[in-house]
Amino acid sequence: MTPPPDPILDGAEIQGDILAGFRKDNVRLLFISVPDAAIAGFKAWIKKIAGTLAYLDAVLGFNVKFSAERRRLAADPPMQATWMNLAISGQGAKRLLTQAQWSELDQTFLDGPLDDAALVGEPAAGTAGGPQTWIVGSPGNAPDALLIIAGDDINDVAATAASRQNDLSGIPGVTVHVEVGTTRAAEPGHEHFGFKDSISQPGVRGKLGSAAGPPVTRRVLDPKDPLYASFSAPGQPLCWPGEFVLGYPRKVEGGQDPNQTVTDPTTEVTRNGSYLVYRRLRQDVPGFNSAVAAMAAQISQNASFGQRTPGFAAACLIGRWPSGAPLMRSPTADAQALGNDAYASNNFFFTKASAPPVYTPQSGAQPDTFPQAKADTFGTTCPYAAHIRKINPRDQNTDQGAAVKTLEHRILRRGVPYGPDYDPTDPNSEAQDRGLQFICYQSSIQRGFQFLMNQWANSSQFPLGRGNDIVIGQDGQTPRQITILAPDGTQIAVNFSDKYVKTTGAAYLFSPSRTSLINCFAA
Amino acid sequence: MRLSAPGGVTDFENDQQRDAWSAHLSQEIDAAIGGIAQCTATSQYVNPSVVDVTTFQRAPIHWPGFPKLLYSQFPTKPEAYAAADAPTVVSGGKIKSGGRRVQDEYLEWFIHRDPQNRIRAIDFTTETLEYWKFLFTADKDLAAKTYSAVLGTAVTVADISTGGNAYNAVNKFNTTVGIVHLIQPNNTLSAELDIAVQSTLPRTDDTGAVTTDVVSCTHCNSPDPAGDSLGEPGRNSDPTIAQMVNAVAATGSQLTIPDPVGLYIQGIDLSGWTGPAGVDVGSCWKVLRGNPAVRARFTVPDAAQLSDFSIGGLPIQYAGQIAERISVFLTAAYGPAGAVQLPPPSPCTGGQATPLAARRPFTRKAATG
Repeated sequence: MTPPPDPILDGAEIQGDILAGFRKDNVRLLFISVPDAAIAGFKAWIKKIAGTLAYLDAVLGFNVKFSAERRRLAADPPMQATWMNLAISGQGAKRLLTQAQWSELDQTFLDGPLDDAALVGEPAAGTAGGPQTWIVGSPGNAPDALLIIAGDDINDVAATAASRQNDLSGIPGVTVHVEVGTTRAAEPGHEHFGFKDSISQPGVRGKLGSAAGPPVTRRVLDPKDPLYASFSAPGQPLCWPGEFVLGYPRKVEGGQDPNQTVTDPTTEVTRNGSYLVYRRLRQDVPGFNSAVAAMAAQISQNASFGQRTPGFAAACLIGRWPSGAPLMRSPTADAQALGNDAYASNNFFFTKASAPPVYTPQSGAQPDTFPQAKADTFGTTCPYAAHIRKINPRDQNTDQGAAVKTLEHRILRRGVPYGPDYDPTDPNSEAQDRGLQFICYQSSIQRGFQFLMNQWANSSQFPLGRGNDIVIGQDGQTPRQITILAPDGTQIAVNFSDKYVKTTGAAYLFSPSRTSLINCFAA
Repeated sequence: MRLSAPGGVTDFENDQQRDAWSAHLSQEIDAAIGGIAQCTATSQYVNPSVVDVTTFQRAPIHWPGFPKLLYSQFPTKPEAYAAADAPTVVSGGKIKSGGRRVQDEYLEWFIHRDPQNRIRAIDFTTETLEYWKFLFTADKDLAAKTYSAVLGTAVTVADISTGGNAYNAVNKFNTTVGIVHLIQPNNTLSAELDIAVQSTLPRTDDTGAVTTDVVSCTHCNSPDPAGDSLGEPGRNSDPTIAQMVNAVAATGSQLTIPDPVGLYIQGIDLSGWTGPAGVDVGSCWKVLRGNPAVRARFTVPDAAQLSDFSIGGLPIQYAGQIAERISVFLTAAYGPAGAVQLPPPSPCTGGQATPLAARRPFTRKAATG
């Protein structure tokens, strides 16, 4: 099947973290609060900094070159960069734009994360863990803007952050709260529970600048591969760029044809922009470890399961092993080599068996020799409650209907851990703050983050009543439960009395285009 | 066993009526099973009035009550909501237009408005035409009496009869002034049974591989390769029902929709709702009939407006926004794996789903023996 033509994306306008991703080990998040008296000074600062931000053409160009060099050298090449992106909150937009301008922006964004906190499962305001406890974005403390600084060299990132803070401190009344994100040195690419993160991201249709320009997402499947027209890589479906960036085609919501698209009307304010959801997610590592140990002991009582380890129980909650190897392709034990293979570890469906992909010669990829995944429509291999199955059902039909509709609910995740590793030998380690600085981009918070949390992750009924997403799902203070299918078909209910990922900060922001920043937000 | 009325409602006044309903429903189930008689020697779908399924495992299959297909037909969600909320127009004994024509997720609703056209309450139902038609046929007076009880207003036999003294499903008390049961053409019990039974058969896709995504497959004995599909792939409900039934059947299990056979309101998700000051939002939602629920009402308090309620900070302006938060479900029950030898898979000749613009209007054929 011939793929549809790629939309042409404006790489000089779209901020780089949205579609290309900074993918840096060191991150500083500068949450900026601007009193009314400082608006003029802040606008001047935006105008000055807009030209220094990293836009898509630069970031994608770097990433493509870096990846090519890494494939050539079989090691990270000596390339470094420090980048910045700027996003504005709903509160900030109302301060910086005219009403006619900010009215063009999404209502959920304008209202901010406090208004839909209960909808996405946060504990009610005033209760334990409620928004009043948030470190970022608590009631009365919403930031107006977020400056993301990310780079390879921690010293350069720190120096850049200090310099920007210094600039901002020159605007009377402006305050800055800094959050830090750092790749875990002990396990790069793994979050604090120990699992490789950000493996499965949607592909994005589109080329930079012209039809001859580079694709936003590298395509490694050969035209001979049956999924060539709809996937950029194994397990990576091609989504229309309008799912993430305003002003481009997106799939018609509710439609059956993945290539029937609509382009939402935009203005100078919104065109080439994207909505950014930030969540500061604290992870309770010993709590999670205790929970999976208890779960392992419980399911081991089923004779058909036999003795199962906490690692197996944890893999059931995630859907992958710590290496990133999916349960679908390695059902009973971790497989480091499979986890190391970025394509193989994402080459699976849930209702269909996987097959060796046909790669382009230029990709340099070879079909892997790991056992292929078997069809698992019933959820016996990868539980329905597993995190990766709840929020990315792949080819599984859902409560929304045919599987093609899941393409409307994809987000681009840009998370990075924060805090020290958990050390079970250190009695002080449990109390330390660690977790994930979660960032994701979408063209609609309602279709993206809000939907995924409310409709899928938090629902004990989705799908088949098999329970909550124990990793990120939440339902206020309500205890959570999952149902695991034993090999003999027995349904085993496992209860979880606590949450192991807790929100400690939140912000809804808009990442505008260069032109929007200069002509609208800074005007 | 005797099959219950949907939701276990207790409208029948004697065992003769109860037995007759059970026999009627049993025949409907057998008719659906008969639809695959030419395709398999042994049906995996069993009639729960004949086979004891009390030990079968249960799995609820749920979906949102708002017809998602409407999103694709309108540029904005408010326009889709408005279409679903549009007043129903009946002409020539049929629904010509309005919300009830498009509410196709086995959930239909009626909006009570005040003289200023403001929404005061919304009645939701999943009750089937089959049940009410049977009730009328069994005892017209009982049907009218039950209408009256459900609606809280006097309804006569004449009010719900056609000129020919048959049951008039699109009578005004079920269309323009109230709602009692489903009337959207696809929202039938026979359709539910048909897709459940037909989906038990193993099918192959156009590559020859066995697939569980069978909603677009044609009926197994259809002589027409482009014949009616098992379900509507654009609905929320049909694709998942078809896929899950097929996956369970692939294990060689017997399966069924257990007693009470029907479609039900699972509940309303009130997370993130806020209401007018002093109003407990949960108190505005009330199940009126059935266990599981087949009828429920959302009532706007006297001193408030619907727009005083919000979900995630966004004001509610349409009943469809509430329907989005309502889950509809059926229960699948399945026995041990390997109980039945599977027939060889047959081609799914329904092919790929066609673009909306090119799709002909969806119709179902009633399951026949």
